[in-house]
Amino acid sequence: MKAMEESTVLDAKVLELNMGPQHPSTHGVLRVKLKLDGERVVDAECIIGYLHRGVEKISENRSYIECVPYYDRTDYIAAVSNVYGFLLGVEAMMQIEVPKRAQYIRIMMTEFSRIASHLLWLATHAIDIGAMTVFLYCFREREEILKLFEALFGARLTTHAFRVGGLWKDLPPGFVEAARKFIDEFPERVDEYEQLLTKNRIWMARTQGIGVISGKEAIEWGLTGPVLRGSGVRHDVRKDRPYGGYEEFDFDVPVGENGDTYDRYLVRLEEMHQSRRIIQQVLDRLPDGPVRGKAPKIVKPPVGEYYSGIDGPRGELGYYIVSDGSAHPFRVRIRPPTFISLQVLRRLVKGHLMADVIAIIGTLDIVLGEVDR
Amino acid sequence: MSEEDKPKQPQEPEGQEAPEAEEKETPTPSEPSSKSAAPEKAAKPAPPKAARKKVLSYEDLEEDTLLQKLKEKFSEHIFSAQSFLHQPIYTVSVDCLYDVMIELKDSPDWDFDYLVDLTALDYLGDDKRFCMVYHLYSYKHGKLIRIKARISEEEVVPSVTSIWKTADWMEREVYDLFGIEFSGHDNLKRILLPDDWHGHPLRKDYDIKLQDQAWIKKHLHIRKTPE
Repeated sequence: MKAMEESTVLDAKVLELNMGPQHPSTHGVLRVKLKLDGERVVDAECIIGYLHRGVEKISENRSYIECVPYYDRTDYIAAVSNVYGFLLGVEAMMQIEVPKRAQYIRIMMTEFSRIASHLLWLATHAIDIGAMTVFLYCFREREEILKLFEALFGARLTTHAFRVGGLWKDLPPGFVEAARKFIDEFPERVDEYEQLLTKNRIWMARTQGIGVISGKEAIEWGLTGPVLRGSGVRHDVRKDRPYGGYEEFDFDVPVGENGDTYDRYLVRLEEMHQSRRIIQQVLDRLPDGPVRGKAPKIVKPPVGEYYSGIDGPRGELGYYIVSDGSAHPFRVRIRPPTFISLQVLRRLVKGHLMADVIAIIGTLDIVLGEVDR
Repeated sequence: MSEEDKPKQPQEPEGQEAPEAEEKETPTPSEPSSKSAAPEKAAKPAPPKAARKKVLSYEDLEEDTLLQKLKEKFSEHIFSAQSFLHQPIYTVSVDCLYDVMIELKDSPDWDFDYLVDLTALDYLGDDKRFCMVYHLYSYKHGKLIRIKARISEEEVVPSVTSIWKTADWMEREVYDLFGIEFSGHDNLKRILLPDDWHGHPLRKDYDIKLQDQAWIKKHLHIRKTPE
């Protein structure tokens, strides 16, 4: 802690305080330079880049297939959806048709990954605010999903889930039953979280009216996903620009009213229910057939460019792929949802208490691996 | 940065050739097809392949209403409109980039209120080396478009932060990784790399193994290991 230069120790009104980069509630290595007047935040500046690995540069030096595992490691909480976005782009440029069964399984796994990601968000968000029990409950359910990932992909976190043209292999025996068991039990489990939090007076006091942003402003800041929907804008890439077969499934896009931390919490809880609905439909209608389409061994898209955007758990995740006709991408630009939503932190924390900064960082649901790439 | 630490970059010549193909804006349809189909042909001579695979190329958009409206307003500053895989691309001059953006955002006919993405491409070796790429989306009309503007190495791009607040960090990222300057951005400094880093890694002449050795020595106290 150090007093600002223009003031002496005695009349120091504004304090500059560094939060992070090593701070448990910044969800990684985020450093926030806070300017405080007593406990009130006057200004905040985010300093990022501690995890910068140059994924976009690496992509230019790898073949299209070799790129894929790197994207697992950008947003490592929802690695499945990251790979999905890139592969959809490559498949569109290569005009590869993905068999129906593979499409369905992809959607199912992406939605599982959304649930797992939201569970981790809820767990850490709750523990940041002081609700310890929810943390343990969420990890119990997340474990079940990670077991499903392990059964299908062979890995729990950095899954390298999908391949160009479909999947690596078909569902292992017993997978469908295990998935059904999970989704049958899941609504009860979410009710347990709701009992602990939704009407909890402390939870409501800590989240209602905190970090309010209107829908119009949210659009101006380029917010997407649950953060945008919490402000009442009904936008979801899965509905507005359907990709990968999402148009065949029924689901609602939940929205909030006030655009505060509490509404974003409700939106994410409802999204978990909607993801469950999609998984239910996939399991009911899962067609037979191959899980991998005809894809060449060497992926060489024609000269051209394509933007493929998907709705990841944190918002619109885009891959802008530029091909020069060779086996290496000329450029892959990742549009990271949390890099873009993190810049609104400064606007959201102004005027709030210091303790609310932690709640607001939590509600933005950032993953520093993706912010920094 | 050390000059000796520059191993050959295998795909650099390809990276240089590509923009020429794209620069002409009409990649000859035969070229990509022969490229992409060649390995397959060698693998197995399947007859329906030719029918299945339509050659992808840039298509000119002549009848496009947005292009016509823009041309009316900005005349020779609007160069072309094309589409690739049904994604429209409008190439404009950097001189009127800012005005085009304001028109696209504020005009009720277009209403592109959401700046999806802002990035750059490096065509090393071209006169106009960089290409700014903007993706815009309209919530009202559900339309996604791409705006491109070529600039030379010395040129400064007008900042769009006053139009969309979200452009703030994206422009800082482009400044950081490409070294492109933006005029009218009030906090243009590096964002992902340290402030005193030298070089812009996403430029094509920045080798993947290149590091700012002076910076590493100063801050991390690591001396370069002899090879």
